[in-house]
Amino acid sequence: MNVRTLQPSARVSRQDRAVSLRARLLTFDPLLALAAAGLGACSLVAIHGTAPQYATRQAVYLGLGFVVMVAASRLDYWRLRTLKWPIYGALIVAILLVIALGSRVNGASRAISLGGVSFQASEFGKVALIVFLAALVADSPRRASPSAITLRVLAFALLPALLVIKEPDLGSGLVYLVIAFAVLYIGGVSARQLGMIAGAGVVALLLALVVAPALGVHVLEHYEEQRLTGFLSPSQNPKSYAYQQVQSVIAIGSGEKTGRGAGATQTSLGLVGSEAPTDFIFTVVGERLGFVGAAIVMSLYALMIWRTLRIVANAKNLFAALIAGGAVAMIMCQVFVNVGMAIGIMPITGVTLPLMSYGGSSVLTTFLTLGLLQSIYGRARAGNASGGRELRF
Amino acid sequence: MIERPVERRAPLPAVLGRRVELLGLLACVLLAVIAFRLWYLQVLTGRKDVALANANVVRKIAIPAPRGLILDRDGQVLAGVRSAAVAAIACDELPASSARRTRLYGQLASVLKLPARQIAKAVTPCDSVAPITIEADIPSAALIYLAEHKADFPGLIEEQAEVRDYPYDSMAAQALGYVGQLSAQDLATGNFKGVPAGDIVGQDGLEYQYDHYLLGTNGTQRVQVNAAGAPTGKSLRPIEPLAGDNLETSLDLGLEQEGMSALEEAMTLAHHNGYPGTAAAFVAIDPRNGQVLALGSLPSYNPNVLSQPFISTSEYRAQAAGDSFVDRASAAAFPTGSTFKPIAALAGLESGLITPSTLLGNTPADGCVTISRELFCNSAGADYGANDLDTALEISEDTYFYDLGAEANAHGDVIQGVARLLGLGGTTGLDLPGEISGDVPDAAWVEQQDARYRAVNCAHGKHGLDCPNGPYTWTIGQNVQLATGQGYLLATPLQMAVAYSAIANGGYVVTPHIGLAVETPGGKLLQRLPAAPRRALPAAYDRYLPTILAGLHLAAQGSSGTSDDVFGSFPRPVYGKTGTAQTNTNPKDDQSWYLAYAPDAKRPIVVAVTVEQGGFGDEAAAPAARLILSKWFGLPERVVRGTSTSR
Repeated sequence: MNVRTLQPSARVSRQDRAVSLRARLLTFDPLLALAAAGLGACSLVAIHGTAPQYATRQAVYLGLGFVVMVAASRLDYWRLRTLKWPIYGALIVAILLVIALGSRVNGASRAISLGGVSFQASEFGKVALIVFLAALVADSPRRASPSAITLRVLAFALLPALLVIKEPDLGSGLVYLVIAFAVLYIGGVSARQLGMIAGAGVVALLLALVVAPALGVHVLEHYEEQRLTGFLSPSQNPKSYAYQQVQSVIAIGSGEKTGRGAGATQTSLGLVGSEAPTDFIFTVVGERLGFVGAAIVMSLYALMIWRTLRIVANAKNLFAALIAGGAVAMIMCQVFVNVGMAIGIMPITGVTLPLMSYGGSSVLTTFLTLGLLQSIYGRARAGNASGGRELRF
Repeated sequence: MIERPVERRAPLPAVLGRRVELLGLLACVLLAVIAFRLWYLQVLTGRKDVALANANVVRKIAIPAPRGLILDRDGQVLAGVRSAAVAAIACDELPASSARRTRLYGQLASVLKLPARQIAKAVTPCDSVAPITIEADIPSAALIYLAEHKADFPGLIEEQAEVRDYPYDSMAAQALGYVGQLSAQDLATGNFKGVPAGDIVGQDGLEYQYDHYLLGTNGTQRVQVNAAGAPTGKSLRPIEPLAGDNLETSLDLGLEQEGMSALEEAMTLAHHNGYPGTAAAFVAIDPRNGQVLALGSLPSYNPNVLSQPFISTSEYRAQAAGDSFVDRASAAAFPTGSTFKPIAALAGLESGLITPSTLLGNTPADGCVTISRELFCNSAGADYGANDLDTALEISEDTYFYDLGAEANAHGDVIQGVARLLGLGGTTGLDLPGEISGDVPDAAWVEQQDARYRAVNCAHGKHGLDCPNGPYTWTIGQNVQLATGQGYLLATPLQMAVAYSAIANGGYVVTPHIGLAVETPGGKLLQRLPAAPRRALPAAYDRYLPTILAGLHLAAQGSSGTSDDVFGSFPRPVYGKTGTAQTNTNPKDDQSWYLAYAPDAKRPIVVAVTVEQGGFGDEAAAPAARLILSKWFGLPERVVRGTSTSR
């Protein structure tokens, strides 16, 4: 099991030190950490440019996040399997608490204040749901039929998803559903079943957006309907979300190749709403730093996604593969939905851009997820070093 | 190496590697889409967005252009502008949620003491670039409150603005008109092409007729805005509004004021004589060119009240009482009574039915003549015997004209033709909206009216009182009535003034007009407003006009003249005719008329005065006409009451 036991005793002292250093380094994916650090730096630059008053707090969140990532990477993720029910219970209770006594921001109660720090349960819920669903699938009895497992995953994911949509936090709810889908996908559910689930999702969306409002029933909050459908019909009303999106596209375009720097106006003048530091942070990058800045940010995300997919591929067991798969789905979904919204090819859903958007809950959740991925990476490397099977990607 | 056995370890799915590859592929595709989109937005078309972004930083607020002035013939202001504290709503700053907007209107309503519903109505839909004015003349207490609670009233602008001012209130209101916000209905008429919604435009009178000159061009305030959409205080150079041009009119302020008070005097006289005297109108024109020197109608309204952004229903009803919006000088037609007699006389002379010395009107029985088995009598059954034309005009002998009407009927539309030639039965071309043409009845006209009546009342075989048997046709009696300005004849005071002008000026039918010229706000002449050319009567008329004028002079100042008691003492020559039109069998409803022409080398004038339910022409209308002429010639204005009971 231990590498050292295979080494000749005479050369222990030097090689032992070198190997243990390599082993320790190898338990941590430096490229993934580099991507995270780079995105954190971009976040600080962007927030400093558009809303300097938030820059210090974001720096604190990012620093804290790094600590959380390192701590989580040391954690034996395997033990989380036994904690799946307490984790799920805590997730549901936290969301219910937010709905019951959350502070209302913009008409939506998404956070509970704990001693001056507001805590956005739906963000932390993302990583909790990943771990829970991964454990649920991994722990399924071998005799259980695939359909039964699929239904269980969907049921346990739908409950928190509907609850956060009720908060209302539509964006997080959709991320929950994508996580569940990803867990089923990585878990090997047949393409036919996945297709049926995706079809049901499209039908549900149509019902909620088109059929129900036509019948006078509003499943979603009015503003959410407007946001989802607004990008199809740009508006001149500065208060509308569609207008914000139009302005966002103009802002990014006006950044041209190298950005407008301090001359940026669209985002600093509030034309894309007060959400520039959060939902529209990519717009800030695009306007201030231009194509170069946007390309750097997208490259960092590409790096992060590549390293994460590699972790999925190299996972040594189903639980690890499912956690990593859920995590990569979460990151990909948030990046493409948020950036797609900023550049005008996706509807506005209020999804944060991982590590870039201002906000402690979002930053810490992403770092916690990355920490888990590092833990899986490390254990897989350790397994390889001990002669385990390696999947190449 | 033996792997440590792990409890219940589930196997990795066989498809994992392939699925991860697919996920990777998806990520590559999505990244490529984003990269291409960014390349397109930022590198290929970025330049266009730079321009858009720069334009966005400034918000444009329209600066309403001050409206041009309406001036009288001496440059005195009839409709001006004054500075007032106004409250307006900037549409793009209103709260997005309708509940919050409703609350805002409620709060505004309580501060401004306006109904919230009206505010909501005025700004729905709110799509104009210019702020929509919701109230002018805000009390200072409300102004201070609004300034102190600015944050509670998003979208509200309170500022000093130039608003329309009519310094003489209800004087000549129907001629001047009033202004109001351009409404969707106004836009639909197509009369305000290119005018931005929310602009203040003319709604009636000259304000409406010459709106495109008076309107001006709005300026633009370009304000840099901050994240909250509020001005940062840094303003770019505004594009100044261009004030509207001034309209110089032919109206004379002094004569206008005198005319209005003369109308009130006439109504008072009518009341004194036991008549209701509910309404009155006058018009004074220059017989040489048709310039309207003064024009007035009572009851009138106060355009200052009508031009307010809001007017309550009760306030509106009070202003509109007595059909005050109708200009009774040009947009209302009445039977003219004996003021029509000179026209009938001219027709008789021109057609050769009579000569100046032809004696007509002999009354065998009690001052009445029998025509076609019907009795037509002089007023109060007076028996004047047979008279020549001038005497008949002097004493306004009805029987003379009954005979003439009966005679003319055999020769077709003799009287009607001349009446139309002089401008009756058609609009005169006055530059005010709403002018009507009146009626000059003949056989065809009666037929047409009857057909219309039957189409409405005799449909579906209905019979009875409303639908008499047989067609209603032209009779000789109707021509007899017409010759004395009775029956179906309807004419506006303005038409009568034009007809008398033609008699006075040697046979030219003028086009009355008020607008003379357009000048810059600084007073520089921009454009003369050409009036339609006057139309000459056939040369043959030249021979007959002096005879008619002589008769009119006798009527006004001859010893037996019907209005001699009013004009006999007037120190200048006057050619005038009373009129007392019976509108039905009730004598209380008689329409009192007076038409007067006073020659002068420099400033001749024709005046028409009419009083609804005013009694005899000499009793109500003639004294008012004398007051107007006195003012025009700078003579002492004295109310001289008339007592003639001739029509």
